Amino acid sequence: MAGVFVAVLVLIARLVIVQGLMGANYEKIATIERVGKVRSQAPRGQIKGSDGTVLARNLESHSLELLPAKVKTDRVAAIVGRLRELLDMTDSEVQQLRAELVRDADPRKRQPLVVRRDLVSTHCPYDSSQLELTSEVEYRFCPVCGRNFEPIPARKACPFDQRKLQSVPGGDGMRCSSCEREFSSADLCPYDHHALHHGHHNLKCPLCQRTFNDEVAVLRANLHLLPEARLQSEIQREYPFRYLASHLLGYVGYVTDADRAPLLPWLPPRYALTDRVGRTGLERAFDQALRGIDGEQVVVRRSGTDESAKGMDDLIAGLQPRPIVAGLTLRLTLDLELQRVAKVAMKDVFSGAAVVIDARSGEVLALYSKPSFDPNTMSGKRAPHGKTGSDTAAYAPLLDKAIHAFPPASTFKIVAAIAALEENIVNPATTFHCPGYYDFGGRRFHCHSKRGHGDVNLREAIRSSCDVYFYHLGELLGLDRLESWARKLGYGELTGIEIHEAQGRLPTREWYAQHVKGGYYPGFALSTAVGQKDVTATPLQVARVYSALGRDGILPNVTLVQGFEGPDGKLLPRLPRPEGRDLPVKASTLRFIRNALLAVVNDEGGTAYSSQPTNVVLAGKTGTAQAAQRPRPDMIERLKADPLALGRLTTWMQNDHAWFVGYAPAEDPEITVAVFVEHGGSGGHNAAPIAVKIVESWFARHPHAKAMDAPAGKGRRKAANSEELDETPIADPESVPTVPPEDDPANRPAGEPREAPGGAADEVLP
Amino acid sequence: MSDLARMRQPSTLIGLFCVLGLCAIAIENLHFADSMLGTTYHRSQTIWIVVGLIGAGVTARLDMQFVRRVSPFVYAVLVVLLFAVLFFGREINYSKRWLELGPANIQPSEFMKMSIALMLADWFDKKRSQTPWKLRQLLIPALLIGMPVALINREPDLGTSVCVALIALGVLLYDGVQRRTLVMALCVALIGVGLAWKFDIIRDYQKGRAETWWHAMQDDDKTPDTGQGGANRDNWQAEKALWAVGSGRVAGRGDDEARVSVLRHVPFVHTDFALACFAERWGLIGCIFLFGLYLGLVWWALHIADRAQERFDALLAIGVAGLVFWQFFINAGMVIGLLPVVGLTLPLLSYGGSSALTVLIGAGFLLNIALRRKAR
Ligand SMILES: [Zn+2]
Ligand SMILES: [Zn+2]
Ligand SMILES: [Zn+2]
Ligand SMILES: [Zn+2]
Repeated sequence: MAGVFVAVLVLIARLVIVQGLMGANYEKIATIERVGKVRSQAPRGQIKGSDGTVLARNLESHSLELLPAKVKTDRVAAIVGRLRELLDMTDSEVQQLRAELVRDADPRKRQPLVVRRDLVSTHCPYDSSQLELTSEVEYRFCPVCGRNFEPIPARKACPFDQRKLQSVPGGDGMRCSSCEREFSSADLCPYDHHALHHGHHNLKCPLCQRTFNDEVAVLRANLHLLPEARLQSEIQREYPFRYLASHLLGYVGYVTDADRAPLLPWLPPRYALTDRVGRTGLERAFDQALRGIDGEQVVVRRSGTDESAKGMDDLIAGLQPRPIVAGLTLRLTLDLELQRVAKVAMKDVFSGAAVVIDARSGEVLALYSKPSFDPNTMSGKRAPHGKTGSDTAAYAPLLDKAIHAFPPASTFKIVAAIAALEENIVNPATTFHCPGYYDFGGRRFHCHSKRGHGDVNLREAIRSSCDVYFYHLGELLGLDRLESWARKLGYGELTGIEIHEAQGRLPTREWYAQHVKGGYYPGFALSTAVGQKDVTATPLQVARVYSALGRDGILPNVTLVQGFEGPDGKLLPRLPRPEGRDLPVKASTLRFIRNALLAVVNDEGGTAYSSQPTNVVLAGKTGTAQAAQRPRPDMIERLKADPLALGRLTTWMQNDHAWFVGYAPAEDPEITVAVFVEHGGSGGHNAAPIAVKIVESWFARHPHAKAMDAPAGKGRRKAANSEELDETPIADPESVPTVPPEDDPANRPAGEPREAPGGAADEVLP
Repeated sequence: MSDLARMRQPSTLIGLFCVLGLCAIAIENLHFADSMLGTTYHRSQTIWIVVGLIGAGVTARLDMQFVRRVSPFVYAVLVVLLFAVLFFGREINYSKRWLELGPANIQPSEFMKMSIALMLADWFDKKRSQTPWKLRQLLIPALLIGMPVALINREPDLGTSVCVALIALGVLLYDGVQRRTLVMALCVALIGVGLAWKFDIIRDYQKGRAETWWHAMQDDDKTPDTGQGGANRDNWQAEKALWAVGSGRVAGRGDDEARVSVLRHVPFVHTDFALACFAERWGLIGCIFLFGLYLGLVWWALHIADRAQERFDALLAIGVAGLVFWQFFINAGMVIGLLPVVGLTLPLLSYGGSSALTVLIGAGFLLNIALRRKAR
């Protein structure tokens, strides 16, 4: 019995402690309704151009969601009616919403229903500029209960539906029982007697002058009438320059189950459900660094008053919030101005790419691919609204053509030239006769000049791009030697750029045996020597190879990134990049090639003689790849409704690919430009002028000491060029008028990256 | 009318007062919980208590010889039922404890508590010996105890199986050792273990606190429970119950305030944590009164055991005392944060027909012994 007594005394002693001594504490703690950790997403790092201009940033976007599980059937009409009023919804939207709500869903499926995305609040939905408040309409709202108040009308009838107003119990406010609007003439909330705030929710965009309703503010003020709805804010990725650099920036997308799957089965999922990951371009290449590390916040929600947080500190301290580690900001080497110039220079072409790299360091200064796309639509910032029958897909807007492999055409001739010189097959004085064709293995290979070039030496062959001369070299070298020299020069390998690039293809006899029906045929070597048939290279690769030719045979490693910015905006030291490698080519050979490339642009008879920049000496090589094709059947099907677009497409596809690659200044190259125009016509006429505009723009901004010191007697200046130069800087990416696919609001990227066209031609033009 | 005269003995009156008082408090407390949650547990509990009181009256008039003859059969039936529970039982909160028999859910493990007391009392009475029991001699009682304990543990119902074992142990040791020493030693050991465990938990709890609260938040969101909440969940429940108990302070808080707080914090407010609800409403004073009632009941049982002229009666009374005391002590210790959370109800106060019936029949046996005592 005594034992029992002792035991009960122990219990009571404990009760005295709990209820008597610590009771007040517990009472306080008991106001906690819930405590938890909430994952807070780290802001994704920005991407900036070389001058610090922000190319990718984060914007808060708001959306209104309904929780279908909470919506009772008898409330559907009221909810829909109110939303229609607040959000200015169209009839079809209303109908859709109603159907969505009435449909009986699996009650366990608690997926919220998104009513409206991208509510207007702080930024213009059209151009993302910061909106300004205008004071046209004033309203008053209670900061405590969130109600909005209209002034009480004289007749005490609701001005909206003429119902008689009823007074609010315990206050001097009025209320309309039918539309549930609140009225008050006093500046105190009739419900909780807090001072009302004055505000205005009319917003104006300083750029486009559109006015908007502050939808978020309106919804926030009325949300107490819609307990089933909630406002969700989300950080969205925003690309302010839209089409300008979309390919290299890439875009982000929501994670898929495949993304989330852990690397090893027992590990936790790699991403949270609502995470977004970089899908293409730099967003993908630097995803880990950009995303940062998500933090964990401690959330304590208390009922009753917030009078004291004391006594709970120890409880909360135990929860250990994890700080957010913001994503790193990426600074690019990209020169935004030059990128714009490249874009403008290509305004008359349907499809193609322009690459500018620093010839010494391999830093990418511009990398533009056309047609472009708006990464905002891909990231969910703006809803894509495409129109059917669009021919956009035919021009492969998603494909980054600057790093996609195409037949390099005559720009590849330097491989045969270098190989032949290095292997002592020819010397600079060796001549071949060009009658306009070359018969080999029972078939006739044409020169682009029907009349023929007559007796040409190697320099003249490069200058006038005589195909017959290179057929001879191809025959003498053979396919495999061509391939090995191309590889030595930097073809067929990755350039080192951080984004996902094509490697290009350098076929060998073995490759033909494996991949082509009928196997190798000696004529293939001839086609390969002039950059046709199955050999492919990316514009970036070609630019890199030509940088090496222009700069004493040092093949640079291409990079797009200067480094990461620290919190103070200064560049963090980056990991050392691999050095460029030396080409195994004799200096005399390089000198010869450089001389020949200079002649292409600056000597009469050169294929790019008509394209000389006014402010610098350019050297380079044109290329024209025969690539006539017919539209694919699915394209024809797609464009049935739009015969005009189909006609345009068909004509376009008949054209050859145009190339130009060159460096300037010719004697000490700073930049290398590669321009590829898909089905653009001829390299000299359609690609070289684009390169010239880009080069001129660059040297207008970066005057070169020797720029005007052009070699005497070689140049012929064109006055027209200097006029064009003035037009080039364009401030707003939107204001650039361009041919169809680009900047069309309906520009909707679609379709898969295409296979490189071409390769079907046996016969070769320049 | 000598029965009535014996009823008027102070000890019997105290015992009856305690039993009836607990019944009344139980119904009131359940009624409050029901009014919060919109449930109707107090109605069925009232029916059970009425049935239990009638059962107690009947038990009080039963011939003990008859009871002793019947008890092995009852025990055998209960063992069979415990087996049946494992296969056909109704699963509530990941534990199979209930058998659906007609309109009522029967919890055989509750009746087993009484039955084991009867069986052991019977067995020890028959095999009486003057010397303390040797291990070899305890083979049969060990079997008698072990089987139901193992079965109940399989349900799983750790609390009840521990309780059955403790009841049996009480009876067993009472017969072997001087009971004073025994009860003292047991209490001290138990409290010691409990405290050590508690301190261990405190440390563990500090470490696992974040996780616990995290789980709790998930609970609040009514996410489907995967059943692997484990110790963290229990800690969390105990913590919340403690908030409610502590909030009661000395004098208790008004029903309206308690309504909010209890609803928010106390899990299983009808069953395991009924005491938390009571403690918040009535405070320290109410709790002391309630504990007094339990103490009175246990005292009555021990008093009867003391005075019993028959060995069987004494052992049976000890069994009933253990039944009430252990369940009360473990449950109360768990609610006020002295003992780890094991799923165990408070006798009478928690909702549960089988449990109430068992306790009241136990009281009936006590009454039976008390009324018979002077007659011999
Ligand atoms: Zn208010
Ligand atoms: Zn109205
Ligand atoms: Zn605007
Ligand atoms: Zn020729």
